[in-house]
Amino acid sequence: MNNQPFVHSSSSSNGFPHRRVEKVAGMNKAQPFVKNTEYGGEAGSVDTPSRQLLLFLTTCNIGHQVEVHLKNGSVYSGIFHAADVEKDFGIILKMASLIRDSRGTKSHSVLVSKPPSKTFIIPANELVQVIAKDLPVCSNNVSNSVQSKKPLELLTDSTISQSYHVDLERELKPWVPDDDLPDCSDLENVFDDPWKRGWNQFEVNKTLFGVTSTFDEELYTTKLERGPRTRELEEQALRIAREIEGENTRDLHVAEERGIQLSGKFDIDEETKYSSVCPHNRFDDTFYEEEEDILLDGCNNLTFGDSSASDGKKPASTGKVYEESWGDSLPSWNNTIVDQSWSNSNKHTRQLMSEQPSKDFPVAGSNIRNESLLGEQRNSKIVGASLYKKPSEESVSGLEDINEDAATSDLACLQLRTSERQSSTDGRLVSSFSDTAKSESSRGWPGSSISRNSENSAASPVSNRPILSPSSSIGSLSSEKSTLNPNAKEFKLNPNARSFKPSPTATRPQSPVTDGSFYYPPVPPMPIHIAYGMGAAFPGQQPMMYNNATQLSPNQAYYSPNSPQYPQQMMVSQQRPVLFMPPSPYQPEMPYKGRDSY
Amino acid sequence: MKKPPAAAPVAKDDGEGEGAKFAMGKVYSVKLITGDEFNGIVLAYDSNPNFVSFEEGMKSKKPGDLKNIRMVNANFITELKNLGKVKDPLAKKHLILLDALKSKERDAISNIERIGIGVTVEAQIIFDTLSKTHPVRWVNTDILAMGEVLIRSPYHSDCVFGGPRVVNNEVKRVLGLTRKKLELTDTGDN
Repeated sequence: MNNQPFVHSSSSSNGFPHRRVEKVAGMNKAQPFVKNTEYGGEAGSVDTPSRQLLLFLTTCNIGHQVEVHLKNGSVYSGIFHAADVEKDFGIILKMASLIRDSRGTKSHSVLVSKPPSKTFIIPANELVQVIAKDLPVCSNNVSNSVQSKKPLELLTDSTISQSYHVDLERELKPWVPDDDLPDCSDLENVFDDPWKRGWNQFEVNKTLFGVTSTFDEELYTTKLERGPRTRELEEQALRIAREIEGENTRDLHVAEERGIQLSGKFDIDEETKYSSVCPHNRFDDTFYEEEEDILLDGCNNLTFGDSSASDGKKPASTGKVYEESWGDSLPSWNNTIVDQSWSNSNKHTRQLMSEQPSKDFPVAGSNIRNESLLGEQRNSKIVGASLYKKPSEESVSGLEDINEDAATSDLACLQLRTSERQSSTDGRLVSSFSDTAKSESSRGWPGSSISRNSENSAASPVSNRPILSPSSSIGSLSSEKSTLNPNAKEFKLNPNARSFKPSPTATRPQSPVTDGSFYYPPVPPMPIHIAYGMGAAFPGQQPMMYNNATQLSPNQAYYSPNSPQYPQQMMVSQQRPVLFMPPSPYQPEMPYKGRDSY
Repeated sequence: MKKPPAAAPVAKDDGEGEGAKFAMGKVYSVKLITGDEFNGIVLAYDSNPNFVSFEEGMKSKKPGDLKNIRMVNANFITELKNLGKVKDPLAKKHLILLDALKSKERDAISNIERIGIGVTVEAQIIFDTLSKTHPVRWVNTDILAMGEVLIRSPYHSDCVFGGPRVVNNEVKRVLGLTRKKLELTDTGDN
């Protein structure tokens, strides 16, 4: 734009249009102040820091609406465009207009009476001062909002739709009551404690509505002995309370309640503190979310009593605690394992570690008791967990199969985790486990399965698939041993299995048979009717009974036995409620147990 | 902008007196030949063009604040009264984002160009509202929309001329809606 001959407003009061042409070239060179590189300096100019600053400040003016005072007293307002820094600092304004002329009369309608000069040049010898009001002088460490302002072209919807007449913002003032408002002084202490106010709600209720309170504290809590021993008891209670509250805790939440600042680092954000999602876990997140609360509760019973939400906080110290309590029962448990394990200590895994051995090591003497709770909870998640009963190879192979499904973290997961983190110590870690396990095999420990487990974990140290440890499942099953069929084969999910197809030669009644268990007699008006029993699931059970196709009227929906079906019963009958009574060995909660054809 | 390395600026004799007089940080009460007076802190000075940059005020503000900066031609200073000194009125490191400044200038110019000369308030309001969604500019007192359609005074829907039919109708429609939204009387047919 500087290259073009300038369009001067003919009204420029000083009449210097044409002499300035030669200055244009000079200004052109000076105009692009390339300030973000080191200023090389022009020949002949003095490169003092002060000059640098002057140039800097001059450059800051660019684009800013400035007021320029001229020698003759006139004042122009315009957008600072350029300055001739090489010569004498003449400047160029854009869209300049006269604000005050040389006679001192202010021009009221500054911009609307006549069009502003598109470009306006002011030589230095006319220039007295250039005033830039509210100029953002930017420096490195200051984030400059002006420079980062969104350009005008980007309009947000709200600015577009905003009505022209609406004030953008009002200055907020605190509310001051009018003088003539009634003085409701009795409302002023509304938030005081109830006994301080002069109003007893129970009395009022009694008076107004005849309602008497029948509240008796002793119905809800222990009766306090109020007698000669009251003071003594009180003091004792206070002492105990103080003791408890002053206890050192590692639980973030408890610590916060007690006002103890647990973590040294303050960068634990709210999410880490209060979320129930365990961070840094490599396995199924959803699993953790559900289990976390349960485990939090369980944690409190542990000797260690910790439930850290952040990892890596309790290394060796916690480990050592573990070690102490299990010193005799886990001779091969060495420090290195513990340290490695806890270097990214996750309470969950710690807990599992704790509970798992304690199950089978009654001498451990630890207070770990919650494995059954955990086990049950885990059951809900793990499809096949309940199937693991005995130290057999099958159970372990089931492990591998279940790999894809199960999303549990476990002793094995601990192995996995530490193996992922410190691959160099994989062998050591795992082997010690297996050693431990083997030494206890006489106690019914699934030694073989552990060793196989170790193979698994060693073989795929970096896979994220959790390996279900039979040990934990055994632990979890302790309460259910009685109900499980010790001889049943364990379930192996075979994704390529064909769906069940009852063979046509299987006993199949040609006519309705009155048999109590599976029978579902056809009723012609019934719309849909499918009854697929679980018969085939049980070895030695009676064959499955289902309705003969001939008994269905043609327009009734009917599931052909050849179509892939899962043996679920769908009883859709509006007219005859039929109770499906499974035969006794059928266990509803484990429908797939021991099925052969699958 | 980085400051030049401390090694050897070409030390031209710029008159020690002047340099010392306008040393950075000095606070002066300045009087100009125009009669203007103010108090300012010296931020920068160069004797070659003999210009001084003042920060208005007597106390140095924080680096993030906006300042009133005055670039004064030292030749026109009539009186200087020393009011003291402040330390480090400017931050050490300086940063200029030239592109940002250029776009700032563009915005400022377009802002001024939006103002119609000698138009009524109503016209200006219409123009502003239209400009949010359509390209409009002033042609004397007429609004040129989409580069093709002219809206003449008094800016009703029947004052829309020119352009292809489609564009014309579009502008008519938008104008009608705008008027309705602004609750201006609309005597034209929509």
